[in-house]
Amino acid sequence: MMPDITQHGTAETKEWEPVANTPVILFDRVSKTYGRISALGGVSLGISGGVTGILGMNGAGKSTMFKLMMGKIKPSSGAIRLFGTDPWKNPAPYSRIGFVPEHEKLYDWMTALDFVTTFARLHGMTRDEATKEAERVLSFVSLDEVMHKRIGQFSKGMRQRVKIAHALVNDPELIILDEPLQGCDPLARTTIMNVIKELGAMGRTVLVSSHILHEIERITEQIVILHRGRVLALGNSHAIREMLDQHPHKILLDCEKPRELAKSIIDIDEVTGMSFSNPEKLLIETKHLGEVHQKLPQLIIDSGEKVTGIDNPDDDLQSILLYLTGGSI
Amino acid sequence: MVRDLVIESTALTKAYGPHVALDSLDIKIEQGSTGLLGPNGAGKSTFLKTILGLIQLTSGEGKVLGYDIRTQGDQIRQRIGYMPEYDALNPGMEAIHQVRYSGELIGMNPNIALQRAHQALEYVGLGEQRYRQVSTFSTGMKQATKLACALIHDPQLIIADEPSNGLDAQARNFMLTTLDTTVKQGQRSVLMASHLMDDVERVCDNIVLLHKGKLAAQGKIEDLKAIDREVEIHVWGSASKMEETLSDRGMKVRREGRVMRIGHTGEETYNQILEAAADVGTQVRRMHDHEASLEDLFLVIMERLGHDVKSSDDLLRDIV
Amino acid sequence: MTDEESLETPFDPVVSKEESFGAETPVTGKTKMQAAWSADSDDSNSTAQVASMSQGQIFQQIYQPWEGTLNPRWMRNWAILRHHVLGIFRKGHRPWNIPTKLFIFFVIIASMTDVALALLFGMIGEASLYDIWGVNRDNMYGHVMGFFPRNILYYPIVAALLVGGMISEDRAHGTSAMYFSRPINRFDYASMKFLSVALILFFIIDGTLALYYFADILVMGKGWAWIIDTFPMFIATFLCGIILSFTYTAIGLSLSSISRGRFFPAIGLVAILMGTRAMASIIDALFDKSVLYVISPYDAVAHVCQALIGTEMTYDHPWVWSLISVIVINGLAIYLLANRVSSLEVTRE
Repeated sequence: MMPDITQHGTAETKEWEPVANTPVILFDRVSKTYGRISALGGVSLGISGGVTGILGMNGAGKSTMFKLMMGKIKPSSGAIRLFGTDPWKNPAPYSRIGFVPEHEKLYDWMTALDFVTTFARLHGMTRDEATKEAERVLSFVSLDEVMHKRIGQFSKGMRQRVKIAHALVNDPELIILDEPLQGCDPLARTTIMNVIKELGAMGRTVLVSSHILHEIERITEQIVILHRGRVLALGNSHAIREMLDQHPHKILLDCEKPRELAKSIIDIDEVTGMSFSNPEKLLIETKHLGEVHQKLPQLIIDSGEKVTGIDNPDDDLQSILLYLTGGSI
Repeated sequence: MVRDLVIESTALTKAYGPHVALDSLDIKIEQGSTGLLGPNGAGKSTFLKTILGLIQLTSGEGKVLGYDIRTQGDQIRQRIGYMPEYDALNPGMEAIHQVRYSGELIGMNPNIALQRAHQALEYVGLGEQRYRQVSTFSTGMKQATKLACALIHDPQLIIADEPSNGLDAQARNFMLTTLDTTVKQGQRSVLMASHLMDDVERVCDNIVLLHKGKLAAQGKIEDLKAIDREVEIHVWGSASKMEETLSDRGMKVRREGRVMRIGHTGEETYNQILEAAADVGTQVRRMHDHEASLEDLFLVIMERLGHDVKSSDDLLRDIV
Repeated sequence: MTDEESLETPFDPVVSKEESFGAETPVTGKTKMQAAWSADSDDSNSTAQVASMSQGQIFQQIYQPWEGTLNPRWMRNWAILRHHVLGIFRKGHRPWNIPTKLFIFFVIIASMTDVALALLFGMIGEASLYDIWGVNRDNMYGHVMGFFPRNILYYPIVAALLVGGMISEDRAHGTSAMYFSRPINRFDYASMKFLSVALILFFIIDGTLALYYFADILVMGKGWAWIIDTFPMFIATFLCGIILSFTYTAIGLSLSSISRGRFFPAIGLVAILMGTRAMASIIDALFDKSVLYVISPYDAVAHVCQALIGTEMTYDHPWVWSLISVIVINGLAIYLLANRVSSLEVTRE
């Protein structure tokens, strides 16, 4: 279900190459200051298609970015384009966007179906169309069994899904979700993640913002990292990791006889270090991850040693963020 | 070494007129932690009621802790603790007295019951709150109180029905830890009915899966996972070619973007993968045995039972 | 995390402090040695100890087993009884609500008006008034079966308040699971609930009756002859109190078992008692036939008590019919109760 993005995010690309002619969202050297405070500084990015994770702690600039995107505030400098038009004071793109905010009061006394139908009607549909559309989206988020129950009786996970459903009415091209998994039980979490991935696979542009890194990891590899109002990195998370060569890359191999295997690995020029802290694992360090991985399969076969596992221990978002921010999150 | 069976049944059947709620179940539940799973209407609650001795069987035999369900219900209920899914506490009583009363109801002396009530509430993490009225408790605290009521007489078997129902992440975590401690440290058996796979996977070693009153699967989670072992790899570059090559070599491959799952056919599977990678010139960035989650397991089981399920969500609804 | 090239370090780089000695300074070996304290000669190995961080666990989850023995059935039943009865006046048992407790207290006091007045007039020596209020056949009958205010207000309403949530609360709170997942069978459950209500009513009615009787004996110093004379009456009245308690409990509890709320049984009980009586008295007034009084639980019991105690019969029909009626009413009520309790749902789907 993840789009095959093997070919993107090579070491040379610094900016996001738009896939189609116009990216759905385009930021061109955008800054936003409130008096002395710089909420966003010189942000340039283009997002189009698939699921993109927007990462950053509170205060990193996520909410400012969303507000700018939705045209709720104006940039201090730079240009923003949403579906090719300036969103500031321009409600035109709204019908193509579904926004799921972090905090939203739902009408507890209504049934899920009523709630979504009401919002559908705001899009200008007739009652019948609206009900059908509401049923469609509610079943997309797996709430068809309980759509006739009152929202007040719903668990947190179910409420989140109602929020997502009502944003999906009228089949928007761009869906923005702000912390969608907060407080959800495991079942709801899996359902919501699947919904997001499916939307991406269907070709929609989905933005998911969260500060819970391992959840984003399970949803998408395309990320934008915001930190103190600047974009620290964007693109494929693994490609980002590869670019951080001041931190040596690590490859962890599970094998029976690590020291025997090491005798073969040491011949690879790009390997800068090896360690054996675990009797059944061999840790390789290198500044050229790609090159080593390219040579590794043949080398392992030639050595005759049995390898049952390969891993990149610090190729997760947590480590990437740590390296990028120098630990000062 | 055959472990003692805490629950066993032979051809256990319960019919309500023409509707067969439990259909000839041959169940063997060992000592330890077992998850009772199944969609709504599968017969989980009916099964629990028969175990508790609250409803009559239509036919078949059943034993709990060695005692016959039909004739020795009292002995059974002296040795098991039940934690129901729904509210089962008097809101106007303080927790300590509620738990003490539940101990007296099983036959404990009032002062011993009081002592044990303190211990039980301490154990479930309500040591500070035990003098408060149950009506002031959050859902998590109520669940913990129910567990304390079930544990007060140190039963050999605890039956917990959806123990993490309505709990937030922290409370859920603590509840599962408590159940786990009871099994591992206390050496007691727990039968946990739940629809949350994660919970069952965390606490239980064995599962019993019911579907439409029939037994769909039974056994150790470990053994059941062995049904479908796979190796998961993440590649970088030439993913589709890699998939092709692997299938050409006769391996079962599933692919999603850069992630592939290859059917485990023995120890040489890993080498085969690496050889294919060397051939194609692709980088294998990650390779490890895929730990099938309980969810995956069920999808496989249900497929084998001939039902078209897309996700375990479907599993938990009525399957036509 | 290896970070050789950290951009920001919070510490200033260490500058080596080299003592510079001028070339002219003689090397006398007298410059101060700046060695750290306890930098003794290398002969013995310097040792150190690092305190292992104590976990500092405030909460430790340790499972504690229990090896005790469990008491038999009667002890479990006793626990149920205690729970319901003691809850009226002690904490830690079934929580009765404040209005109920207050009303019971009020009824106990109010029931003892005859005691108070008898003793009052007896002690101050008002013979005629004492005769009106003192212990005698009619007054004892009146203590238990007097219609106004006892059986129109006090006893039925107490009974109503007592049975109010008795069984329905277990269904509402889900606590029936607590009973039936333990070795308590439904018969014991229903009997103990029944007994607890009946006992409370019994204490109110017969307790105050006994107080009335014995207070009169003790305070007024009645002799043995009087006691022997009146004791059979007392026993008969005592028995009537039991029949009355039993009947009100039976009707009230059976109503509690068919409803989910607290108010229906209470209102239902009072309605049945008053309604049947009202209807029978209308028929009596219109057609001068007292036989319909057999459908009124109060009147049926009253008639039987009149026969037992030996006071004046206020009904025309034979008292055996009333006796049969009492048995039938109680039988029906208990049958309904048993039926409902046996089908009480314990686990919900």
